[in-house]
Amino acid sequence: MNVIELQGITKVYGKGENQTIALNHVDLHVKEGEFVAIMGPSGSGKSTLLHIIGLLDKPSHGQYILDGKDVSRLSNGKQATIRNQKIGFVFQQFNLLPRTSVIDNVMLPTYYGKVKSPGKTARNLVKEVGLAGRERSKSNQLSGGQIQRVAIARALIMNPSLILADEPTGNLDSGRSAEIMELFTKINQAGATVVIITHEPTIAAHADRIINVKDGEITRTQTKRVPAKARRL
Amino acid sequence: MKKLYQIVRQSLKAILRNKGRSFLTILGIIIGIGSVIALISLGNGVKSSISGQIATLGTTNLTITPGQSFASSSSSNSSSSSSSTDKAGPGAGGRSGSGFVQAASTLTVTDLTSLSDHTKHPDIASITGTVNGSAVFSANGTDERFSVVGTTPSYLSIRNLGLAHGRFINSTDISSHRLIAVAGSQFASDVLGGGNVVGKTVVINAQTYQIVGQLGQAPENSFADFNDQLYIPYTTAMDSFSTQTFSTLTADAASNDTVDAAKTDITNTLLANHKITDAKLADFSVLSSKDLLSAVSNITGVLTSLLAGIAAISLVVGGIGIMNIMLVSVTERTREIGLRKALGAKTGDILGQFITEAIILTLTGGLLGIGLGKLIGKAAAHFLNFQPIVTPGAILLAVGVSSAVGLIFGIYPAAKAAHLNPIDALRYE
Repeated sequence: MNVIELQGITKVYGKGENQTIALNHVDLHVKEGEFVAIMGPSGSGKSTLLHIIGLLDKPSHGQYILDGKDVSRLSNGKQATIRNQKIGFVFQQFNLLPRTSVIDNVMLPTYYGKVKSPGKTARNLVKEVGLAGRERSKSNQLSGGQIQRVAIARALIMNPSLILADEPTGNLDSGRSAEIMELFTKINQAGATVVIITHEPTIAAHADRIINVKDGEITRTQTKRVPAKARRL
Repeated sequence: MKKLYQIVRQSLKAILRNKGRSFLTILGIIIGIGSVIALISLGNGVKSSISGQIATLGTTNLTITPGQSFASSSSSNSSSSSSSTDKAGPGAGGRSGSGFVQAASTLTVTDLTSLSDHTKHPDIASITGTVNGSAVFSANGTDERFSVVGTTPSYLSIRNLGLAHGRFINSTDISSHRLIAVAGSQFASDVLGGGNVVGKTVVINAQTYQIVGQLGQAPENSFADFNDQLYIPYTTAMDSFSTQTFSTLTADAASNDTVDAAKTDITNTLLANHKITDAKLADFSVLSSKDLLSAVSNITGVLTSLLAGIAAISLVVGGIGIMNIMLVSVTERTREIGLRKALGAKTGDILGQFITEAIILTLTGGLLGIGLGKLIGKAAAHFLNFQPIVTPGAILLAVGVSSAVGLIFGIYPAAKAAHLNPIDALRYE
């Protein structure tokens, strides 16, 4: 079953002469438990695509069916609930609340939705991403790799079925990048659908399928393997 | 309930995360509210201090002073206001019978006697007259001039005075022109060495007076110092100071409601006694405590408005400070708003958090500001010798304005940010 179904998604910025078409009639299907990498040069529209998938931005035209439900016309409040319950985000930057402890950052989504024993879950996740003992550290005392680990733990705390990551290794060296990608692979193997944006082929190599975007259109799709394990939403 | 707790928790964490900025916001509020409360409480304190002093003279009191209200021959002076400080001016040498010199009082014993008739003047509870003189006494080794007041027995009750020892002047003292005196508390300790001074003697104009009574300590009053005076029968005083008239008459109206009736009654009686038909030509004036109070509250009202004006300016300045910091805060935190929205916060969650933060900041600042204002008021009052009065109105005004400023300027940009697409807020530069 498809988790994500994009049909004729178009995103236009600006008006008149300043109009730019970020996405032009994009159709995309992502299956449950799939690990997808979106690649493309900067300005290709890959970030816009991810933001629309993550309900952070609204398409100008087209239909978005998430988990069998049309979500492109939902109210802001309902979209917020879906973001909270079903989607976990990892951004390239501006990820954590400044001067805030690791544990408080990980628990941030739990303030906006229901989850069982958030404190315990958060502590477990911090251990899982390899930050045991750093629970009380402030975000400004962490390295880039550690910040992304916190962000991944936070993305997982609501137990979402879809993980979206926008160049999660963009600011990291290759060693740290490999560690972060290992985490994503683990998450995917545990059943979550993962969509990741990158412009590095080595990162994209972790994915089951690589989608190339250029000038707002999908130019090429490479399928490497069928996901071994799938999880229902 | 859990939701509210979460919001308050998030707000508190956000406030503590930006200690410097929070402190600056609070500081603006503290200074704004503090200065408003200090200034208003000082203004009110001055007002009530003066009103209180008038009240100790008795709110039903009517003071009849000689002079004033005379008309010059040209009738150019139409002033009917009462002020005994006016000097006899152009009218002094005018038409015979209509002008008089201020120094020559027109309030006679006949006036006092006729007004003392309670059956004819039911609105006047009691009346007393005073002959104001002075004499030099040796006080604590140096010669000093003290007031000597010739008066009647009813003076004690009209002026709300109490006896510490002995008795006050009685009617026999008056009719027999006796050489007796009653000492004010300060006079007793300064001139007569303190303690119970009944039985001691003082000398005025080469005549020896026996002290028969001593007054208790009267509250301090800037209009008259009852403690510092010596009281003798008015008949004796008239003999000693060679006068036939009273310096002032003081009447006590039967009640607060009859003050105006008593005032009219006194005016008419004295006009008849003095054979004056035109009230404008009256050679005396009647002033009630109410008149004095309204004159004083006019002055202090202006004073308080002036202070409140200055305070309002500081409140506006404080408000602008709050506004700036709130604006900077929200701008700086647009990305935080974006992040929170991306993680599932609804517009209401964001607004709730910012409103709660603004409320916590303004309340904290407000409370500290009230404390600071009271402290400044107390400190000022310590040097100025009166009690500042903090009214709930002043507190409401100060806290209301600063909270409104904080809320409006904190929430408006926050609401704008909260309504952004999450990605626009996240990307905000």
